[in-house]
Amino acid sequence: MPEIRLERISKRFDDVPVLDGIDLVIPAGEFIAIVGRSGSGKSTLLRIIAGLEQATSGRLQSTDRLAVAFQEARLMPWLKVAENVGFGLPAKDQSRIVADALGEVGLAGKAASWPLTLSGGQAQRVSLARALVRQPEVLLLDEPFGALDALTKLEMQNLVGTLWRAHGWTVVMVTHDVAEAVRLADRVIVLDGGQISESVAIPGRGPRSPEDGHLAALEAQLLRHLGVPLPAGNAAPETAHS
Amino acid sequence: MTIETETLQPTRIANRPQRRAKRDLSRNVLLPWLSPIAILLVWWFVSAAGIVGPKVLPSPVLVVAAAWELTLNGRLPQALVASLGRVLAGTIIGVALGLAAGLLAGYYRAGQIVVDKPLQMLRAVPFNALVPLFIVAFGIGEWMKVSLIAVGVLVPIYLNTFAGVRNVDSKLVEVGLVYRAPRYLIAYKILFLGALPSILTGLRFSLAIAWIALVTSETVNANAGIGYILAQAQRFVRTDQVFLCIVIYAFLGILTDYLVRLLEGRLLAWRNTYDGR
Ligand SMILES: Nc1ncnc2c1ncn2[C@@H]1O[C@H](COP(=O)(O)OP(=O)(O)OP(=O)(O)O)[C@@H](O)[C@H]1O
Ligand SMILES: [Mg+2]
Repeated sequence: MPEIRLERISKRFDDVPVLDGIDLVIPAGEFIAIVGRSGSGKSTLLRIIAGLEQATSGRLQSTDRLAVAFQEARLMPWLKVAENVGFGLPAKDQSRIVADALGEVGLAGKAASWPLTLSGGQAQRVSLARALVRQPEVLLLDEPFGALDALTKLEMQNLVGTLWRAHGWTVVMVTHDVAEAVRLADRVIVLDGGQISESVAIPGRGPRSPEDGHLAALEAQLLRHLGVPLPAGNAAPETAHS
Repeated sequence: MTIETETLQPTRIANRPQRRAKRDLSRNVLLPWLSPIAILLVWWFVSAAGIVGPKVLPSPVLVVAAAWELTLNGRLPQALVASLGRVLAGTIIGVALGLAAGLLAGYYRAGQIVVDKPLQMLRAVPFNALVPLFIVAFGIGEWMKVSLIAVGVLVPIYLNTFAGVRNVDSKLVEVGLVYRAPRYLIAYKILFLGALPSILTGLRFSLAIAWIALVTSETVNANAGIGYILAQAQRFVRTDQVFLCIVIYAFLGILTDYLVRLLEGRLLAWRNTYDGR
């Protein structure tokens, strides 16, 4: 399985720089999380890796065998949920694979539904299932859990983390949620001003338990890199429960 | 005060089933026919009262009698078969060509360059202006009629297919591209199915034009068909038969529209559209 390699990747939209000389090597099998403020170019970076956007300059080494779960669910409204998940898969075993995947994201009963009847979180899980069934070498996830409630979110994080462990995919996940990044990734990079302003390695392998004491410290460290002001002294907010 | 609000709420809730009933009323199959029936009654009344002479406005009874007479002597069934055959053949050819051209121009920019301008020009030409040309090219037989209908049908199908394909969200096409779906799959499951609402609208326009093209072609020269009966009736001032032909055209037009709506109901079940209140 090849690594993903970005060398001095820059991207401008109408002369406005969005990415400015990104150097990044993602070894095969690594789970990397990209965090950054809204508009910092996270989706753009993902789209460049996916080959959907041409970098203005720089060199990219990527793979063909990748699956993307986009920031929006992007389901074809005229195909039933199961057909969306199975889109483009070989006919052999398709219905079984699709049914399994829908079961894993907790939507076994929705196989025959129209996408327009789904809730936002359900649509996002269908989109996630559609990416997962492709057995890719590289999985690109753009805020895959953004529309989910806290409980479902944890379940889906565990699902992605477990599948990643089982299959050894390379995963690049964009997220707003620093806690999520720290739970799942081997490494979290912060995108700021078009550059990678920080890269934090997370010890151990995901999915990590939220009870893990190290995580809070790493989270706080990342939030500081993102410029989020933390309460002075003790980082734990008043409402925290032990 | 509290009693007032408490009594208000149940009435509001009780009002809901009435809304429901109103909605169900619009689903009623007979209701849309009320106004045509009213028109028929007015027509009957006007002719029966002798306000307008029977040579201008024959009574519906006379028209039914004409239908009976033409059915008995076999001319009407024969005409219907001939006309329906022409419309069917012309529509199938026109839809097939229009779809092919629309998908080609929609999918490939090269296709658009080749196909779009000529068809836009064809659109600007009223199709009945093509009759002399078609007579020269195809003679005065069936081919002239069928191809005139096909051309009339082709244009709206093409325009709506092309516009429908180009209206498909490029983000959905990206999904197909990034998953390395084969071309035919992107063309069919994303572009064609996505364009289908627009294509079916085109089909409705097309079928309306198909009937007009039929009349035009059948009144130019024909020895069978509804248009032929119409031309004959006009020559012999059989206003009852003229009316009969008009009624048949109206009925066939409504019938085809109904068929397309059925098709829409089946094929566009995924849509979640506003359907009036
Ligand atoms: N196709 C485009 N044309 C012009 N500008 C674009 C285009 N795509 C993205 N941009 C701009 O590039 C910048 C980065 O966009 P991007 O979608 O990568 O941000 P993001 O980090 O994913 O934000 P969010 O967290 O809100 O999803 C934004 O300022 C956006 O307006
Ligand atoms: Mg984004």
